[in-house]
Amino acid sequence: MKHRYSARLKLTLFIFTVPSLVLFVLFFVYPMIQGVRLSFFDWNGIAPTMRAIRLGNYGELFGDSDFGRAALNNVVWAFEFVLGSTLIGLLLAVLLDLGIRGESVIKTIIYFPLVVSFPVLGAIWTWIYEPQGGLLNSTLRTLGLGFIAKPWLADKNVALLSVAIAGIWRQVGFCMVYFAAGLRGIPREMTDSARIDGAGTMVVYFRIIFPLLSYVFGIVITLTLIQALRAFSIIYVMTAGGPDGATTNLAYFTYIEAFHYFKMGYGSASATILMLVVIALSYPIIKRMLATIYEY
Amino acid sequence: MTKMRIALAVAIGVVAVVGAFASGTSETNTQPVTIYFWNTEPTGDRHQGMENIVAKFEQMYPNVKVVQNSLDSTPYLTALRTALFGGGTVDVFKSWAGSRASEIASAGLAADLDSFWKDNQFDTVYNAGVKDVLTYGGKTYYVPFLYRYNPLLWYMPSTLKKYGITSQPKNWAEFDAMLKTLKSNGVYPFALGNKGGGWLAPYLFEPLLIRTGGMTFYKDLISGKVPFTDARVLKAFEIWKQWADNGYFFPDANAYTWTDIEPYWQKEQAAFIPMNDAALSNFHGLNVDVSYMRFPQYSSDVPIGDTMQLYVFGAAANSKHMKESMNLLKLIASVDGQEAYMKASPSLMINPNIPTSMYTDPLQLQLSKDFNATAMSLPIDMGPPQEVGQTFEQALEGWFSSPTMETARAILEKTQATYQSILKKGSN
Repeated sequence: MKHRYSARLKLTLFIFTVPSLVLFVLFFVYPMIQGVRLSFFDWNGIAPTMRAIRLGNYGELFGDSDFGRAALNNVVWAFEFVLGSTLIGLLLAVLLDLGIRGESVIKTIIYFPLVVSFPVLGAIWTWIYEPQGGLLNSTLRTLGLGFIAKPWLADKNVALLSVAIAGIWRQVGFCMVYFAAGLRGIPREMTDSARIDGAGTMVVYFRIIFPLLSYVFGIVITLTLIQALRAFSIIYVMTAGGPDGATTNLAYFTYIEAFHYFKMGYGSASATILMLVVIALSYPIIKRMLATIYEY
Repeated sequence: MTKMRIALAVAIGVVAVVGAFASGTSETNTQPVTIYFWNTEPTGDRHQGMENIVAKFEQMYPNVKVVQNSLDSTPYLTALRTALFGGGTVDVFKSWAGSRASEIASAGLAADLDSFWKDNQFDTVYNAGVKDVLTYGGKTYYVPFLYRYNPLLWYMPSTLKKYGITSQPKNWAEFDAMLKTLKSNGVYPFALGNKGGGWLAPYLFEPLLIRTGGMTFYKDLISGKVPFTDARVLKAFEIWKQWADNGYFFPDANAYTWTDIEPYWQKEQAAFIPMNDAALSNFHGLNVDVSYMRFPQYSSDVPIGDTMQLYVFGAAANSKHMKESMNLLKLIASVDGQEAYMKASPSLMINPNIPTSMYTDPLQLQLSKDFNATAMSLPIDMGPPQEVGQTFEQALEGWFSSPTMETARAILEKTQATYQSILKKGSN
């Protein structure tokens, strides 16, 4: 039902919104517009004149093999990251929902990586992946699986997956918390009555619980996907985009072009494309969230 | 009432403008002045070195207060460029000779120091080669400070002694024989820590280019006159390929930084760490007996040449306190200023009049002698536009995953294409 607000209340609400709105426009909308505008220029950030090249940067981007590889890396990364984080997060939430003792302690431990800063995360995982004496390769060798051991972050073929695993380790707690909250929200009567009617565990989960969690799935997948598309810090601290661009994604590509090569227009064009992709992907969930708020 | 308000506002405005103008014009040498000094020495002995210079300067000019803005070198250049362009608080700033410094000068953001060089007779102090890398478009914009001697091979003499290597190779044949001896005894000759963008690999590659092709060729290469696809560059790659085939590189170069790889070097699993002279204090910290080696001559008709990074300082073109900024630059370029820095942070200073007694470390003293006797040029990641250097470095990272001549050709073609596109844009 649509609420009707009095004019006075509307004005009050508007006045309370103004300070944050001003800050939002000043520090978010305006730079965003400037960024898009900049993408139509060839400029090194300090030259007195900016050369207008219309869609030149976009044309160049689509012919740039490094950009293409960064976009592909982004897709692969997003797939690995979203799939891994969501499935493991869901599995953990389901297990914890079974009423294991010490549930809150386990949840805290799983959630903990999310509060670890990226430099610390980088240090931990660099040590785990260290080729000679790192935890992973040492364990593999001890188990007689030394043939699998490799320089995880230095091998072009596995570097992206290796960074994604570190990212998943961090993201799992976030997904688990959402799923756990969703599971708590499902009335027990629904699953109990299904069981009385003879439904097995798998049927209960796949026909009742998971469909009821579809909204949570939507939020978790969308937010994790946005996280995956914008990923920067983890790549910066673990591989600096290497080896040979194997872990460079669009955000890192943008950073290098804009702040290492000082191709501000080119970097802005790349950032604009990334922004449009993120907006397109997040639009459905934001729309749904707003609609939900409206219903209350 | 409204008229009165307007009149009051106008009066306040006039007073403010006149006041601001008056304070700007009536400034004298005795009035307190604050200048902003940007550098990349935020911590440790290098920061103390800068503090020493500032203290000396403030002693010489008691009315001038120097505020340092010391940032880590990674975000520094972006922050500096933004501040210079935006008219921020920058008076004196550090840069690196080559494309980084030239872009700032070309944008009109660095003060022209032609007459400053003349007035201080720096031409009689610094040789033409040094001035040349500080001069862009016929004008000099910077003063030199210190240099980093890039392509050095750091080793523990005890490691080499174990295998009967007691003196440094005098020519390429001896160098080759030494590498073979080490490898046949289970020691990897090169512990290259190439992680983090591949910036260290050129320290092993540039000397090969210069040894095999000569300094003139190398300078032509980095200035874009000779393409990266030139046969002489491929020849340097052939040597690398041979080294890779012989197993001379410690495995997984891209998995380590040069400090990550130190433990293996200390355990004598590898003999040489390629790194510049900045590594010296680190090695001293490890308490190991250390020495350095330079690549010997490849053939007798090509003299030795090497690469260096040159730290330079300039003044912002829009500095509000140009006189004070120039005075600080004068101190930075002088023996006094550079000695003050050395006292806290032993380094290779560019001023040739620094007394040798200031080099308390015998290795540094030897390095300064080597530097003075060697033709030097800027490295690939400093001379050409940054994108060219970094494209090359990044591609070299890829070479360690697939050390073939096909990869080498692909690296060179990509680097050349990048350089071509930049040169083409520049000429448009």
